[in-house]
Amino acid sequence: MTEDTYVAGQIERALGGDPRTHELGVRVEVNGDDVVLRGQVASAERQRLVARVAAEQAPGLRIRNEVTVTEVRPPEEVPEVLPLPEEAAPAREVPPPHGAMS
Amino acid sequence: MIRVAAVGDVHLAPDIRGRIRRHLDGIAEHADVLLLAGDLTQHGTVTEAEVVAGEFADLGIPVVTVLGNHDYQCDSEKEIIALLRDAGMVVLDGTGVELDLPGGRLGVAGGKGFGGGFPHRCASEFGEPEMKAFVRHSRLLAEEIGKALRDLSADFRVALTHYSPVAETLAGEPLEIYPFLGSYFLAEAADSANADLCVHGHAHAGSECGTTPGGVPVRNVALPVLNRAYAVYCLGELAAAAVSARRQRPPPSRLASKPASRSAGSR
Repeated sequence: MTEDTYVAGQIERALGGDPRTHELGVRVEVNGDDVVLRGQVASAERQRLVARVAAEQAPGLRIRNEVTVTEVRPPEEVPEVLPLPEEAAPAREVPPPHGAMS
Repeated sequence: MIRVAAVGDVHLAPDIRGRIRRHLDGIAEHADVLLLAGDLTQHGTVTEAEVVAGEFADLGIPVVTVLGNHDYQCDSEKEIIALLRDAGMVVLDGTGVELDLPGGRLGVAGGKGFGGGFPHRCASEFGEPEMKAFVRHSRLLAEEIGKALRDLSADFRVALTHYSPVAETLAGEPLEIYPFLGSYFLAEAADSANADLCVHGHAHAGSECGTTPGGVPVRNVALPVLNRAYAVYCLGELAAAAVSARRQRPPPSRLASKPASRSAGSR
């Protein structure tokens, strides 16, 4: 279990740092010999590259590539009309201090 | 009325040349200006920037952009900025621009921005030099953007950044990474100038709509959030008229667009 976590971290670092991918948002889950990749990329080629880099980083493990390609639809016909400042939603109440990084 | 089109995080490279462009023909009929919220490229190379320049060339409306963290990856940001400017795009880097558009004078100020987090859950300019440098970088960039916004004398003012000014438009991202996705310094900058709109990207799994503590609408226009080539937001007299009409009839729906879609994402 502990090892799975570190292997997942290593694969995520490789996907972010490898010049073929530079994908920072692909989430990797490792369970024994099984690796699952999830997230979105911009093209089918990048989808394949993500799996290739992951496989190189984790030789011998089974890669299940659930990464999808981001859809780009045409713009909507109706634009959004922004509210005037006095119509804007009131600010959310700031939650109490908890767990600030320091 | 000014119609502001916006999209971010297009992550262009030669392999996806034309992916956005095929939806941009005729954009001048729907919008007066196009804002790009950074991460124009995937790896931050000049070759990719050439694809960006081609993708947004000759649209018939001004194109204003900032860079994102991906555009810095190969340390070629200066060359990328120069290339995009040569191609006719306005690149903001802690600076502002004023544009005379058919519906009025629009001021846009912006820059990449940076992380650090949001009130009570943020990094402090304290301790190790690396930590001080991280937070100082974010604060100084936001201060530059705030000054550039306040210096604008246009009818409408828009803050354009890559990183988010508020946590609200990050909803959908893991809470643990919020401090790497934005900084409240940017909201403070927009509120200090009474901006009319904040536009950002970076958070691919976030949400489209939010508001600063001072009431400025915030829109996350990352492409994986929009799932469409661009969004259009209307500022100005017609917006006022539409709001007035809404006051007189239920339901009190604030937005004319569909709710933001969410997606698992990358940045």
